[in-house]
Amino acid sequence: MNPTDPQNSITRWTDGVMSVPERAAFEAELQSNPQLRAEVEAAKRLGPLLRDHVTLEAAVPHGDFFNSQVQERITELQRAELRAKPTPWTLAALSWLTRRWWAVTAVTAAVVAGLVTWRSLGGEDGSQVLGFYAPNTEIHASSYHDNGANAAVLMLDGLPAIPDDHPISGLSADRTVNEPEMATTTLYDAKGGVLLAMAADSAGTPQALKQ
Amino acid sequence: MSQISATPPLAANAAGAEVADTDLVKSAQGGDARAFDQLVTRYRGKVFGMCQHLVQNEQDAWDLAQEAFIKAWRALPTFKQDSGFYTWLYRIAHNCSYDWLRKKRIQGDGEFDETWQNQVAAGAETTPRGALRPDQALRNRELGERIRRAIAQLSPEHRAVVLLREVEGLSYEEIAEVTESQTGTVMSRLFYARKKLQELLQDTHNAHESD
Repeated sequence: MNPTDPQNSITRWTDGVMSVPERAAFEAELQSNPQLRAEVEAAKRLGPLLRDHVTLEAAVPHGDFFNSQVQERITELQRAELRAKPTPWTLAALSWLTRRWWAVTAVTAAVVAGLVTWRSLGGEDGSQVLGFYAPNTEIHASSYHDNGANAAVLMLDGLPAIPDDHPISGLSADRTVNEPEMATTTLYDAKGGVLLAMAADSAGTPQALKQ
Repeated sequence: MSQISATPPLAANAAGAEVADTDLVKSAQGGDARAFDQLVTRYRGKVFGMCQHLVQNEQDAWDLAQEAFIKAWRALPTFKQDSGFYTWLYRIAHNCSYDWLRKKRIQGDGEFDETWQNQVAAGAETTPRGALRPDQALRNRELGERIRRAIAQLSPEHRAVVLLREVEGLSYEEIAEVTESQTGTVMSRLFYARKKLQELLQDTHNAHESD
């Protein structure tokens, strides 16, 4: 910005932001320059004319609806943030993966934050994996039942090696209950406590509902 | 350089005391959507009005004002209150409107909403000071319409600075912040915007002087 630029001087004089010496010098110049004087006076008259007839504020049509729409969208945003935020209980819910022989697949599962829906078939002869979800589409998930471990083993191909000291978490579910009307699946422990409740959103992405 | 700054309004709390923007912003930053709702109520008219002046269309301005408030909500955690909330909000609204205008330019869609112009000319923004005789009121309304049509002929860049300065009384620095430009650019735009308006309103100027 060059304050001595004639354009800037006109603007700054019009807006009354010149210092006293600056203003005195400029007004002395105006005395000897009628054309400049006419120009700045015209600029000065413009302000009151605009203020008398224009305001930046305008009545918002359906103002209450405007506010409610904003609030609704904020609520949606808050819900989305809650869904996206990993909570301690969702991580704890994966404690069933802590068995040693699951190290690689278990850690992998934690890393990709994948949710696996499964249910116990009862007895000791195993469990059934109902479906997989991994946010990273490059990870290929599969499973098999390991008789020796008496557990379902999850295979997540496509991830780099996981360090041995990587913390692992998971959960051990005794049974699951599907509620078709609510489109939810709830995992229970052996004592009947709820470990995890899940539902799929409109895009088919599993969402943990509560512990 | 002395500057004129617009003073943000205050709202009353339950005890009847005025709640400053800063307090409402703090509450909103803590996730209080009701505090944000008060800010929406306080500034929706100004944000909507600015969007409307920039895009010259009531419906689009309504949507853009919504967008501005949602963006403001999302960006609230990063707002440090080192500038006024209203300045910061104007900046967001200004950016929303500019993005919209750019898209319209790219799409080659330069439609002008005459409906809005006519609605406004019907009296929404022309506020006669005191009781006017019918002939004066009519002349006042016609004058207001002419002024707004002249403003509409300015480029969006020039329109924004002249309204923020002359109508809202923002300082050069505040306008620079809102429009994301340098103060030198603001002064230059002000100079050319005023010059253009003087040309367009030459006879009006003289009439206003004689009132």
